[in-house]
Amino acid sequence: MVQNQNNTNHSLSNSRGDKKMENNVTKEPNTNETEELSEEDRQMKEEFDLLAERVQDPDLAVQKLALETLKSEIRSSTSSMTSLPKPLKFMSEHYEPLKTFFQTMVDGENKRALADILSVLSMTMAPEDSLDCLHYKLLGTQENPESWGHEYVRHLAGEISQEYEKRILAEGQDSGMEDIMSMVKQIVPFLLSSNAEPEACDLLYEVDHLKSLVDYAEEANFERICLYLLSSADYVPEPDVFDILQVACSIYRKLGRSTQAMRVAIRLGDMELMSNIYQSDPEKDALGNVVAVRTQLALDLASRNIFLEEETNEDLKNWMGNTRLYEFYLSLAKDLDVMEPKTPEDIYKSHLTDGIGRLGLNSNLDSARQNLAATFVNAFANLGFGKDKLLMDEESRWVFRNKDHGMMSATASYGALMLWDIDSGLAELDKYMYASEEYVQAGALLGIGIVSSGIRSEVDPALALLSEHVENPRSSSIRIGAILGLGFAYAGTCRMEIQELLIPIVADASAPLDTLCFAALSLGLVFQGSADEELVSTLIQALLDRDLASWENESMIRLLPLSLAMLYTGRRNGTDAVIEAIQAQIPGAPGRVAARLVSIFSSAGSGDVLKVQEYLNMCGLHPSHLEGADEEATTTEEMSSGNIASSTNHEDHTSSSPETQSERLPKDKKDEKELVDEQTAACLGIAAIAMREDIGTEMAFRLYGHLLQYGDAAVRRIVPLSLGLLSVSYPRLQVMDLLSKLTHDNDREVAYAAIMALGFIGAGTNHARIASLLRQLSAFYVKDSSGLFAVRIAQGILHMGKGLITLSPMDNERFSIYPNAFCGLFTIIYLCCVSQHTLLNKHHYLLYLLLLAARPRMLYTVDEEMKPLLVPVRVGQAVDIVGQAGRPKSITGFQTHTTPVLIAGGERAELATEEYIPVAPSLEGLVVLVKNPHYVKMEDM
Amino acid sequence: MGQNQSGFSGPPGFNQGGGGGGDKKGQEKKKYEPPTGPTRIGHKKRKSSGPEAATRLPPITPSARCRLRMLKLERVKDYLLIEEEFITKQEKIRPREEKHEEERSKVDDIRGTPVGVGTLEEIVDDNHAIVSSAVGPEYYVNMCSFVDRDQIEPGCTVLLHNKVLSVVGVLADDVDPMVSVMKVDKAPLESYADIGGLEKQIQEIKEAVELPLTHPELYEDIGISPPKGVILYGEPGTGKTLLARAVANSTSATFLRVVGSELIQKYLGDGPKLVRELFRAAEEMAPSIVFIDEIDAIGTKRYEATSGGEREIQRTMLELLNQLDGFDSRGDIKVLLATNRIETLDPALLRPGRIDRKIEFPFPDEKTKRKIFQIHAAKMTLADDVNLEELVMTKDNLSGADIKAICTEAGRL
Repeated sequence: MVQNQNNTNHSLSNSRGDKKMENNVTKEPNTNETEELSEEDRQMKEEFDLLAERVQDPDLAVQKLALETLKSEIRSSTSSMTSLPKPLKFMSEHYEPLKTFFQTMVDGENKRALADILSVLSMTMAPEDSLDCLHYKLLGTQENPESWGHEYVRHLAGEISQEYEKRILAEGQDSGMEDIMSMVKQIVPFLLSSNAEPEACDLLYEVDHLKSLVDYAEEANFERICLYLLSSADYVPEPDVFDILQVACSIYRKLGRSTQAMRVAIRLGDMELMSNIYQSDPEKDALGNVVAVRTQLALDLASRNIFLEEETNEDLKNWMGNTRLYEFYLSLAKDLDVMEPKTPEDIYKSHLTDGIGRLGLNSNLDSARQNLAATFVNAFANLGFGKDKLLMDEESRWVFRNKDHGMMSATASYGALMLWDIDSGLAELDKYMYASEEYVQAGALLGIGIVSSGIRSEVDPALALLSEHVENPRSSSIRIGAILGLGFAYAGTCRMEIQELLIPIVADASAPLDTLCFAALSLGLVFQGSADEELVSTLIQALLDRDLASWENESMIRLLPLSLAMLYTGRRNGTDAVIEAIQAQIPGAPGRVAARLVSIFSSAGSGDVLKVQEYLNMCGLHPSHLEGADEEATTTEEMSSGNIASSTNHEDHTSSSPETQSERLPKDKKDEKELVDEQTAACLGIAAIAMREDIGTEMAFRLYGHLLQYGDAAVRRIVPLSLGLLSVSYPRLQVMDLLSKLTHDNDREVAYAAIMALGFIGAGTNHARIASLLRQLSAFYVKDSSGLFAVRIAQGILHMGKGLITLSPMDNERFSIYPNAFCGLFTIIYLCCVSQHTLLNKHHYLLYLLLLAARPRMLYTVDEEMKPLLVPVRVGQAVDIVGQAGRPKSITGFQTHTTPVLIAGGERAELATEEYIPVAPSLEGLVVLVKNPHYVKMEDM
Repeated sequence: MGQNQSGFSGPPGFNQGGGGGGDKKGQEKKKYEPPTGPTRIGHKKRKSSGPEAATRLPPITPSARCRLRMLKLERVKDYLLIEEEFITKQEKIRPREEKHEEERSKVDDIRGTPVGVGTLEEIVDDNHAIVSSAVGPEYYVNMCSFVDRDQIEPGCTVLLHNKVLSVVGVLADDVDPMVSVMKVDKAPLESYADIGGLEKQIQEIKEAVELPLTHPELYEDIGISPPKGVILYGEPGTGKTLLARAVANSTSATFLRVVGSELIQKYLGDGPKLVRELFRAAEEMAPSIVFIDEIDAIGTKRYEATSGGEREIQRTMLELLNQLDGFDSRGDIKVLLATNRIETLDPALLRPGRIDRKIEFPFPDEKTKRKIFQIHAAKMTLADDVNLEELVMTKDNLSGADIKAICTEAGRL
């Protein structure tokens, strides 16, 4: 048995261990040879010698009897973990003679029986790659291999996949596999019945028959199968991902787990599948409660801003449109007793910093900025609570204590305060709609957009109110307000009306640059992931219309390629061609940046290692050393992409990268600048791609460490924000430590970026450690108004929604990405990188883009009528339980609470009562519970 | 201000955010000096087994042999390849070596020659400490910024500048020499082949001690935690120590061996300390096997002790109990105990979780006796009239050691 472990191709144990085991193995036979065998052993050995001899007897009857005894002897022998079963040991010397005898045998029952025995013997005797075990098995009786024990089956499974691979290589096609397949059909049920689901999945995957898994899945094993499949999906090469997800989805559907199937369908991004599931599956659901299931499906879709038009039920429409989300949010706040509004001072807590901090506040160093910061902090902290102590205080007239664009942000912050609550939000903003100040009016328009972000209502007030101002001739800021408002309100909806409204602006070559860019941004947000052809060509044309001079001088123009990229969010298929096309159509730096951004957005969260490699190489280029590095880069790249096994698109990858690099050959000052643009995108791209799975995040963190060491100043400035993107709302200690070091970097830009990043990683967590770090920073930057502004904003983000909000663009299990949230976050972070000063100076209202990513980080349990249902839940650190034996605990270090509860990054919840069954696939957000029909109260038992 | 005490550490010289109480004054004087964060000083960072946390690789979760695990490992490998490629390329462009060399020589300049050696008595704040050298009084001195604060703890040996006596370096303290003696460097000659009989015992010990170190996934597959320790017991001369030697011979894990009586020390507290040191050393050199022979020397049942010496021995045992299954989890350490008198041992020592397997070594039966005779007589020329069978068949309880003695005595005649 020990040898088997070495033989099986699954053996992953370290080589040292293997060597040691071999030592033991080789030692044992020696012992036996030198020493005399014990009495029983000798007897047994003689018996086997005799049997082996009889097997070769010419008399068929004798042969048969011997074979049968042999068979039963081998089967009945028990093995232990460390040693070979005795019969196998004693038969080893007869292996070769039997093999030769086998050749001479006439066909018949006996020959097949011997083949079976030889197959078992080859498990231990045959050389490693001979695949004898399988060959003899195929020649033998076709009886079920499971009777020979689990170890034999595992071994056989390993050889089958090897053989399959060999045949595919030899013949290049899928024919002539019947013999193997029949074997597989025998093995898989056995593996499934003996709790070895991972092995069954592996075997089917390796012989390319994963689809048949759907037939094998049953009530007892489907959960483990699907869990295993879904977590493997993160690591297999590209085209297989979809197969695996589809198989998992079909298994869920077959067993009536519609909510889970929906979760997978959302990951697949397949609208047709989603609406199919939504339409037909609830009736077949295993829970048997159509209303509950349908409600949960509607809620799940709503959390991703997906709206299925065909739904007619008024209630369900409401849930799908998120129109009553704010009620639950407010009730959560009430339950946690955080309704009391917070002033910016409550957030700054400057009494905790030492004397200088307070002094700084009173020194009126730059009161406009202070006020602006206060506006944002106030808006973020009281996000969605509907009341505050700054704006709603009629006495202070806070809005008018700001200047110009400050007014716009201040007015728009009403929208943030009333987030998701359209009715009261509109009522509040209505006051400012007709204000004489253009900035106030613009802010009100933006506020309307913010209020209705992610909400779909029948009345559609945002479109009605905003559309008339899009063409407002009076003031460009009003136009901007309206345009951005539309972008917020309809992000991800693909509403054609918006396209009609905004395309003329983008297509208009004479439009002012910032209006144009914001129109493009709004279009990008609304039509994210749609790959709408008309839009693509309009945006490309707009980019072409602007000359390179404006590219260099105006940072806002970078919104154009970004919006272009948004159109391809999450579209994995066929983007390579698009990237090529973009590069061909748009010359120079804008084209390259656009191509890179498209590739980032299309593969966000995919964990594609090749992309990471490409981006890292990009970041590693130094403008001053470019000549020398170029050729090297291409050669090493080709070399190493050969190393990386899981490469499906690596051919076009290697062919495209030398191209991009050779294009850059003529070098001067200008190129250096262009390179920075591309590096910015690439550096953020690593985070965007790696952020969805654990291994990726940890390894990307290491990569960024290297970039800090070796990168140019330009790259170093982006690293902190990339780290922020990597773990939004998930403050891990190591990231925090690194960022807090960087906040005192010699390069001011790096320091500001690190401050903002601190805010991002702690967004909405109220994290005490980050809060104290930021307080100390506020004392430190007292004299530096930009620094202080950054600190204040970071503080606001940290305390977003008084700690009830998360900005993470993924669900808690990191299963899929919320495209809306991702676009908003990426835009903000990208803008922070390319034009920190614009963001910190004039276009600060773009900071509200963060609210696209905001959602309550709660677990709220409701019954099927959406009445709150308070149940105890356990919340604790999530543990990876894939492929583990038994029923391992999925959380550790848990505490028991009563819903509603908050769930932080990396945490997971489970119900602490048997009385209810959750309908949702993972306990997060709004979860519908149904009564467990099998529940028996303790007293009744 | 103490809210930041839990502290985070970083390489010295790095400016850190956060200001402890001590920074306040310094900051007022020169405003733009970045406040240095409180590094954790005063106690040495516990050396975790394995590399530093920052360079650590993510854990790979399903430990069973399956494709998912392979895919995950491959993913990590891919990332590491990327890293390697990146670094080699960058090194080519901008070699770091020279710069390091330069910095090193600068540090050496600051250190000066000769460098004094002293003991760190107390750490006052981030940059100051009280040191003493072998002669003379204690000094309040500076600590240079390049000294790794994580390595510093009171009582450690430090390097002092020859004139100003500031701390310029830390000497890594070695493992207690008492412990380093225990390490078996040269494998004993006895192998499993030299043991007559005892097949069951050999197999049990392999399962309990070797397999968990080499194939931990076998246990996790089934969902159990592998046994932590094994006690070998039986009459004198039945081969307990011999088997332990065979284990030491065959394993590539670090093998530490102690005799129970070694753990009894002259001074109060030295015994428990030695036990601690022993297990610390074992952890650092993990995977390792600790073999404590004649455990009854310290492991006897607790009773109302009258003399200080007895109490000390009991305390040593308590420390051993804690090390076997205490608050801190031990990594890859397996414990082998051997005793003649299992019945006198403290029940706490033998409870499952500390010692999971009790392996009895009985007197050899006839077959085994014959084997042992053969092993010992193999190197001797026997007279024709020697009948080993006769000796084997005798009724007396012969132990392995007795048989060896018979052979040796016969040889001497």
